[in-house]
Amino acid sequence: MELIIAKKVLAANDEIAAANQALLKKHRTFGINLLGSPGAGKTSLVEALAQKLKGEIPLSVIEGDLATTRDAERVEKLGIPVVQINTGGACHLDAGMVAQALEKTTLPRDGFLIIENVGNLVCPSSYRLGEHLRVVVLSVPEGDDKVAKYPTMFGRVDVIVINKIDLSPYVPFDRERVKGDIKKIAPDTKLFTLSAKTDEGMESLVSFLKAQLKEYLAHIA
Amino acid sequence: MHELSLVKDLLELARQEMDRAGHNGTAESLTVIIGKLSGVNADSFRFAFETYGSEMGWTKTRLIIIEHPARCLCQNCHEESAVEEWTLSCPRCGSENIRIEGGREFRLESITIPD
Repeated sequence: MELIIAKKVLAANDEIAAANQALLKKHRTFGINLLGSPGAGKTSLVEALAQKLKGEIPLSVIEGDLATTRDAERVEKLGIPVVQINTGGACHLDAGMVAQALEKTTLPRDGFLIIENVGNLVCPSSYRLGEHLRVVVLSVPEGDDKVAKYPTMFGRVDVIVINKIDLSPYVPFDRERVKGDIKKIAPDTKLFTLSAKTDEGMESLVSFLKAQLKEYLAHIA
Repeated sequence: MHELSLVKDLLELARQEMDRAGHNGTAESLTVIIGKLSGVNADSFRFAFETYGSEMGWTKTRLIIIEHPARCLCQNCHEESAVEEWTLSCPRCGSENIRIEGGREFRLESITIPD
């Protein structure tokens, strides 16, 4: 006998993700899933955003790593509430891991929760966590071919951040090539070019995120 | 290599659906649709199913994988081509003015259980 199912294999993950999203909504928190390679500057971007939002918009962070609490320690130094998830070898976060972390997380009212995913341009793209926005960080030293080489990641995000543009004079990186690839793979994606280290270009990302938060809060009010 | 955890997700979903149908035995086969752009590698998925699946007691279950291509819609020559991977240009005329649709599916389509 054949049972017709026709359900997404990740249906269970998606259900937990929806519950996570509902919890965030209840607390009026806007969730960001922060993706990118190891070393792209995800934690540096979190630190830079924390500085920018300080005293204005509350922020909490969930840090996903295979091992160590180093990233969480960096964020904690800035006085930001942070919860570390150690995946114990798993190459991505899933909605269940985030649900557990959410139990321990201070969810900032009218603020952001940034979930820093495991550094990886492949696996995390399949798993929804309950976020409202998916942001991938691509750094200049990684090379300008990454959008085309990892389309399953870059094709499934809302925002692409090109980071470390302060290194542009030293490494070949053709921004136009990246823009061209984005246009083909993810035409509706927002692109920001910045350096989390020098602050160049940070302001426009911050304004965009604030506008997203405002729209979200207006929508749930 | 996240295929192993995807197999785990597949088996959980299959178990849940079989329980719902009141069948607590094993399945004869699981049919899974994998889109070519879903980020799931069919060979790795099969390998993960054979190793993890048998460990979890699904030894007698056959995995049937149906791979779905994506469609490349060319805005220049208006040809619709099936593509097996991400492409940046139309396979027919080479134009880069294209849209890629479909191929992202990853579904458990059906379960065959003994009558």
